[in-house]
Amino acid sequence: MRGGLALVIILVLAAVLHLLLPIGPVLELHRTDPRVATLLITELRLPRTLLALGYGAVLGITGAALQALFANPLASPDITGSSSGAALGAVVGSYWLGVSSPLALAAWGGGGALLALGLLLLLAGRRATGPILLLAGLAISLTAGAATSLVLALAPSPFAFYDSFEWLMGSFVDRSLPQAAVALLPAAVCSALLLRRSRALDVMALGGDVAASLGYRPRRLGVEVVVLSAISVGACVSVCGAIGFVGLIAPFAGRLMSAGHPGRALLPSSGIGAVLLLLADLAVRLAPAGRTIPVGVLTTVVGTPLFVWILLSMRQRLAA
Amino acid sequence: MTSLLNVKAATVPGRLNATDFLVDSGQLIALIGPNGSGKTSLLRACAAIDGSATVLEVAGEDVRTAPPARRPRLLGYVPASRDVVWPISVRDIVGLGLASPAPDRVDEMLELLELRSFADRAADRLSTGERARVLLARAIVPAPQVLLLDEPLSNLDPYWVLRLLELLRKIADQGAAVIVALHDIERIAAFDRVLLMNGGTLLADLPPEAMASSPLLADSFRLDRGDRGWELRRSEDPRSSP
Repeated sequence: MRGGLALVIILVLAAVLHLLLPIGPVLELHRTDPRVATLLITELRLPRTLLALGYGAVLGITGAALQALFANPLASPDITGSSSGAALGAVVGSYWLGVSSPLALAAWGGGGALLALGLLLLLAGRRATGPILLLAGLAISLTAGAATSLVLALAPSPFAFYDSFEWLMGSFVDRSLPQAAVALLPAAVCSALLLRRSRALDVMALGGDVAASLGYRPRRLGVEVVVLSAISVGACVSVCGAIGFVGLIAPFAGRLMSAGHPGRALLPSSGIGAVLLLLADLAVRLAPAGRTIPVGVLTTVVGTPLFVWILLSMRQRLAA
Repeated sequence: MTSLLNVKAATVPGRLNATDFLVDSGQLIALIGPNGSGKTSLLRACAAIDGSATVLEVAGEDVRTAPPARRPRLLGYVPASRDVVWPISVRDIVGLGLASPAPDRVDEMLELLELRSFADRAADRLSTGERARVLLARAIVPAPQVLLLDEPLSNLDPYWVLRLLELLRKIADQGAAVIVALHDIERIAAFDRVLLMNGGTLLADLPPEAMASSPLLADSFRLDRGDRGWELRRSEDPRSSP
């Protein structure tokens, strides 16, 4: 309870800092023309803050739901290949089929993520062991990544590679409010529906068979979690590109707040994911002027050691 | 008198042929049969996990349409697997068996199965035998009317085998029906009724004494009763089993 309150306070603080920092330009504009200062906040910074907060929350909640479903702390949108699948879907839609409306792009992203997760269920099965899940996810990620490169290389536009870089590497720079809405509205609806499945996902800790004997429907729950996760992640990827590791780390921390319960961890995981991504995006703003570092690069650099640490602690547990 | 558990045409394609049986309140039943004979499939069909049945009722109530808030009161099922994936405390695992929280009832179960000393430890760090007791406590905490247990005696030390049989008898005496899949055919004397399965079919439904001397039992397990208990059957063709 107290942990939850602390998380909310940290989240609000991180969002406010993200909106206001760096404060220099805002104050300067406020002195010369207050209306421009307001525009800077509402038109430029607000979409970025909303996207970092919302995408982080989506990664936390879908990561926690996928981990609960697969009964595996290594499952997450990026490791299961759904982020790469979403990127592939969005790239095909954008560069080959000329889809330009953000909503249609989000649908293509969702479709790609759904395909990747469906393929994963087929390859690894629910309740897949760690190595199987990792290998199947790796195969899907690599295939989707290579297919994305191929689609870009063969795209009608010769600049496809160049101008997709910032998009696919995960970035919140220069996104508009309507774009943020396209990513976050479907994601919010799906996340709310995922949250309603917290209790069922907690019972899944006893195994799918026991859950079924207690009146839950594990197979249907599996399809629901996969579809809802795919839509949320797909919509966010189609606007901001793929961002790694937040969906893996946030649920890990979320379960520390839920006494290990995988379903009850959904809500705290979403808060932690939002804080992580807000802070990461604040950090990339420290880059030298004129340079942009995609936030996805930072989350991967910071996330990899944590991932290795989780792997090692799993190995220890297996040996015990 | 109507039966407590009423099962008609329980079927799992390829594993369990259409099976009917009735169980009365207060009965402690052993379910035996060689590996792959369909014991687990029968339990799973009764627990509405898979397969189909034309009738599957506990005290006249259809199990399959009972929602999660109601189902734990009707039946409890414990699989043979003792896996616990997440580092959830023993107390919380037991609590997951209840549709709504009841800490006193959880404490009662912890006491009953001597789990109190590690109530706050993560269940995934316990030994297999300790986990077996935790998972059993999870199943009996809502006081289900029918209890379905798959190999509950495996991984238990001799003390706990006897304690568990005593506990199951007590649960049956309080009006529940308890069905236990077993490997150890020497244990059937402790039960009221013994169901023998082979090849996905319920072959016999007998009191333990009659079952122990039944040729169906010896044939199903490919064993013979010798001077020093059960012995391997030495027939001309060792593969001539049903």
